[in-house]
Amino acid sequence: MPAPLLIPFVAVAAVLAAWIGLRADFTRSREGKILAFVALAVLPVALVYEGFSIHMEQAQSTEFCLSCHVMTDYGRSLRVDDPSYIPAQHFQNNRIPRERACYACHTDYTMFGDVSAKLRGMRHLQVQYFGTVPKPEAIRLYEPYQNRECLHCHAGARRFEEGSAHHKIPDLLVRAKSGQLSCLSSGCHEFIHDVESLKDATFWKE
Amino acid sequence: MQSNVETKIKWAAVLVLAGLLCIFVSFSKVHPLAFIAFLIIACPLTLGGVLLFLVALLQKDTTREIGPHTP
Repeated sequence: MPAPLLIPFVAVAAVLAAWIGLRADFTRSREGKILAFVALAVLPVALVYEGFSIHMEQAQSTEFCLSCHVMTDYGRSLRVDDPSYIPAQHFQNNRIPRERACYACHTDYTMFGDVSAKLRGMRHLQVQYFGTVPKPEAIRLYEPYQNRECLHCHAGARRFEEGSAHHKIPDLLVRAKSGQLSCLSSGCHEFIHDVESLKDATFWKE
Repeated sequence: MQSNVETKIKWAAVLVLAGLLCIFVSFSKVHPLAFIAFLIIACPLTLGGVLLFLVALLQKDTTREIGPHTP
């Protein structure tokens, strides 16, 4: 449910809660007890649950990720005018949804990948507001980037399977698909965000 | 005279109302601070209010029972 749709429910619940608070004697009657139960138990619990899921959904948005100052350069790297920059190429050509650009590549495509991505996000929030924020160029992934995340979209695609670059070495695709050869760190698709080199870069203007 | 159950219900309503207002404010912007405010302020206030209301429901209303018969 989008956040604007929840707002009328919040308003109704708030009005009911205020009314029960002002007229607590109304809860002496059976009807009053039922209304109070709806206003002070059912609606608030439902709204907290729905609010939490809306916030979780919003936490996947590019706007959310880039709202921390430390992520500014990573956001700029999506607009570098150079197709060798993998995130820029994906973002500018709509290969990933632009409104969820960070999450599309930085979630794990496993059974509990969403959960682990959210837990990592909670750790980022803890560092942002209660810890020491590192410099943008000092930010590293927790573990090497898995080919699995690339293959989630690219596996089976004609350009990926039949592309000449992927057949320069006979077993390149087999090794990439089995994870023996990294897509990113084996010298093939090596330009990722590279925030250190942004000062010399030119940027795409929409 | 207001019974102690009604006093608890009143406080529960205040907590729920404050929590709902925080939920409302947290939806005003897609920002990590809004999420933190939801998690650290809005959720405890709302759920605290709900808990207080449930405690009030389970509590025996002693004020009203002994009130009229007390010499």
